[in-house]
Amino acid sequence: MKKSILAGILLTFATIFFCLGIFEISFPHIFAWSELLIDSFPKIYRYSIHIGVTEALLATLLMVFACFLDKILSMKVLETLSRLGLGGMFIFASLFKIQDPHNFAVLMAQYQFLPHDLINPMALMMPSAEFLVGIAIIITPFTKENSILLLFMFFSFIIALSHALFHDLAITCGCFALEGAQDKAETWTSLIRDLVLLIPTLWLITRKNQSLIQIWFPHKIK
Amino acid sequence: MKWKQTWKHTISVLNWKYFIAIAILTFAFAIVNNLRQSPETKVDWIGGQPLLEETAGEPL
Repeated sequence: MKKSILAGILLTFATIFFCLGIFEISFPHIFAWSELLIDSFPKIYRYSIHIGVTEALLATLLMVFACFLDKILSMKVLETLSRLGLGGMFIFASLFKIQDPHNFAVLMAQYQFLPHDLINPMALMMPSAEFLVGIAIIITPFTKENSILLLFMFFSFIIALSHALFHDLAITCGCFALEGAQDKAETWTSLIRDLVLLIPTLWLITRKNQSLIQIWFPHKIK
Repeated sequence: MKWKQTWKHTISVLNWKYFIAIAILTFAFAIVNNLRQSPETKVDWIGGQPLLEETAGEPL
């Protein structure tokens, strides 16, 4: 019982760090301390791992400790957070692109990766897929299928960002905003973020297909 | 070895109809979304966009 309470406390802190991390990744300019960090440690902030990823990793560390104390509870919390976090992030990331397909198509062209005639159809389809899969991973029980779709999307982002870095194209990733040319460090941050987010995605593929409600109340809903 | 078994199991239990349903929904969503755009934000289904001058690096 004591172990469960301690695990609960650790998981609460992990949840707070995880939510902060996700919001920091999604809206880095809203958080005042990110400005403070840029001023104080420009090099560390620009060339090291994004602060949001650090918070997410700290949350993972707390989860590991909680897992030793109460594995079943920790797994439930981890699956819920991973699905809400990844789903929410994909929904937020798609909104800007859905609102302005033209600017997103212009941004995709800057990657110089896809054949010219495929840029517009991809700029129309990609945000729709992000939005629908983001919603689906939260509300539907198809965890494995949605995680595989997220994995494919992450792979496509990683390949495109690596291509941009390899060819020295300092462009914005277009993940959460549609801007023009950007600093190369931004591309590195996006690449590292996508690589880190592969971990929960791969883990979710191994989980059982069930809705978020079924995770917490497995016997009540059939 | 365990990973191999996990992957084999995952592939065998996948609901392939779900992928088809998501693909159809995505296509329908993209069509509707493009139709409701203003002329400034709308794009043609076939075609691309020019490279911006401010894009750093040499064009490939």
